[in-house]
Amino acid sequence: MSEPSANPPEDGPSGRTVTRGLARLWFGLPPVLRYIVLRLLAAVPVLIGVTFICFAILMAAPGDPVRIVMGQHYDEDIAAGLREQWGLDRPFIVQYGMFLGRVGTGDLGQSYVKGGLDVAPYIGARFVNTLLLTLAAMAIAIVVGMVAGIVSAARPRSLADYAMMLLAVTGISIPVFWLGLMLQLVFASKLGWLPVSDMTYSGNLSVLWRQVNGNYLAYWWRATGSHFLLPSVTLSVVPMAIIARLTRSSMLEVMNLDYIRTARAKGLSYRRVVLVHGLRNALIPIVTVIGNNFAVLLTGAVLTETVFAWPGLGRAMVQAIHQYDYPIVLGGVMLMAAVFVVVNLLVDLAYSIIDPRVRVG
Amino acid sequence: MGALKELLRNRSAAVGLVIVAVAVFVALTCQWLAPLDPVDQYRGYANQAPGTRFELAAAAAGGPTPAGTFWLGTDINGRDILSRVLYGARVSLLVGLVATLLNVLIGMTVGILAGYYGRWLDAVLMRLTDTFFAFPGMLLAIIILATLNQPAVREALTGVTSHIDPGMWGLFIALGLTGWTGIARVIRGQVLAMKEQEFIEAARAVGCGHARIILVHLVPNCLAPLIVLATMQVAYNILSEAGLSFLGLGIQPPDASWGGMLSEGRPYMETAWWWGVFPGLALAFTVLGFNLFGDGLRDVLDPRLKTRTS
Repeated sequence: MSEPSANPPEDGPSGRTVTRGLARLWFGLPPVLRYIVLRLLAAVPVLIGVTFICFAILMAAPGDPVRIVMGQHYDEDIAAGLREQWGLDRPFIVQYGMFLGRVGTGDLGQSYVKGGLDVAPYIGARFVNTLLLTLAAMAIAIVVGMVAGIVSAARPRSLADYAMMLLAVTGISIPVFWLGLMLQLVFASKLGWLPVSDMTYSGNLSVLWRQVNGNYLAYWWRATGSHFLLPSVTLSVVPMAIIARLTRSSMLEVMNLDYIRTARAKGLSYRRVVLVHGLRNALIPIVTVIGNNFAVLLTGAVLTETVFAWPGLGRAMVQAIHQYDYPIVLGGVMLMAAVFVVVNLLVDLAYSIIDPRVRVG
Repeated sequence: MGALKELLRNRSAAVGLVIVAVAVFVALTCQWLAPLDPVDQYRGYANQAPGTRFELAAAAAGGPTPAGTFWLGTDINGRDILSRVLYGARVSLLVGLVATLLNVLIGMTVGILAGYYGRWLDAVLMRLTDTFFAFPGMLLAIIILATLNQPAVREALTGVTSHIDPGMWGLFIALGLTGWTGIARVIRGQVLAMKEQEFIEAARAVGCGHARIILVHLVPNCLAPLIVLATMQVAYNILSEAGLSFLGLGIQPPDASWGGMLSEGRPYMETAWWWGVFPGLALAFTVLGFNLFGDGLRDVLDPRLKTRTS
């Protein structure tokens, strides 16, 4: 951006005008936009760091991906060709530089294993599946978790409060994948109410359509909805418990403040004070934790996806790691880290909407 | 002593402490508690439901009890689930504690250096923390483990210590290197707040060097949040160990670990539910114990952490 002096002086604007123009443009932007741009720029070193660490670990591995990918059909000539094609014969730093160069143009390379498949569209599609699962799980977690937290805080030390908080601490302690297995065992295998795994109906859809006699709701449920229920409930348990606990403690803190007493003294009903005055001000820590958990879920759905054979990014990456499919591993790690950064940015922006005292920028 | 009394009066802390104590006791004494060898396969007794009686042929005499009950049943290979669950406690706790120790060492060092020296060191260390924090979920641990799990590395690690499973080394390293970011951030905040207080200034005025200020004045004042965070981190590390072993990356069968048992038992869930249910229960209870204890510790030692750790 700062190379304006290279412009030909006769017809283009001079260097200083360009700099000044840019400066005027920059400071003319709304502060929020400036803040977003700066935050995204600050994320670049983090993304470089993440890929560098990942790259270094993969390269330090003693195994030879070419040998593993080719398996029994190993042939020295073809192997040498592949090494050259994938750049594996170059020094580490050069390989990393080549990787960054390609990323800069939006190209994440081709899979080693899946017949030269382009990595970017592949992980993109898998990511969408993970995103759908995560959104469903987060919706369940927010609704149930916040209601439980508010109920607990409204009557602290009541039986309902103790029960909720015991459930919540159990929720953060339960191994997610084990919960998934148990739900599968009960609701899918034993009771047969829900499908065991997969994201969509595995049979012939037109047959299914005839089976349900054109009832669209039943069709949707059999084809997709029922497949979402168990995985999203499984994935929602940990954030649900965390949100419930935090909603409770955050509400209790706020409910002790003076303005709540004022609101009560004005004669407002307890329900109104809790829901309108209390909740709104208790929301800030809750939003943080919702944002953090969303990012963690999005990137950590590996176990749930494995249990339910969900075609998401986490499972794709575990497979890729086992198969030494480095381009998919690197692309996936980068995508997930980028999502993490963006979600955290959105959380910070959400503060300023909830709490006008917080100014962004 | 006041804190200890208060801790025991705190209901969740007391319950948590009992569960943790039981788990530690089992982990230390599993070779005497377990009725049978966790790895031995009892032919003819594959896939037995909980409570099945057994009598071993004379050939197996000299080993464990010749007759008894498979209280929790057996798996498809005829291994006793109860013994495997008991031995699994050892793996879980060992990995949980060692990994947490590494987390604390790294997190504490990074947090104190960043908070105390500030300036460029703070900037560098915090960007490093951000980087590790942005690493998706368990993926960094998975990548590290996949690297360490290769035959050549496993062989080298076996050479170092013959009685520790090489998969265990991988878990120590992978979890130790990934879980320290939260600790580093909280400790840094703590040090930043303390640095400006009078007692640090006084120490400096008396002529204390940096090392003495850090070790004698800062570290002890960081202990309260550190203990709370470390307790919760043990719970997290135990869960992660189980998850990684479930994915086939941690402890390898036939060695007993809860996550590994869940992964082995998964295909047989419908016919042999006991294979998957009991290790999961043991895991959930142990983690619950650490979480309850951590909650109680936090309420007693450092209530302000509430909004930061839950």
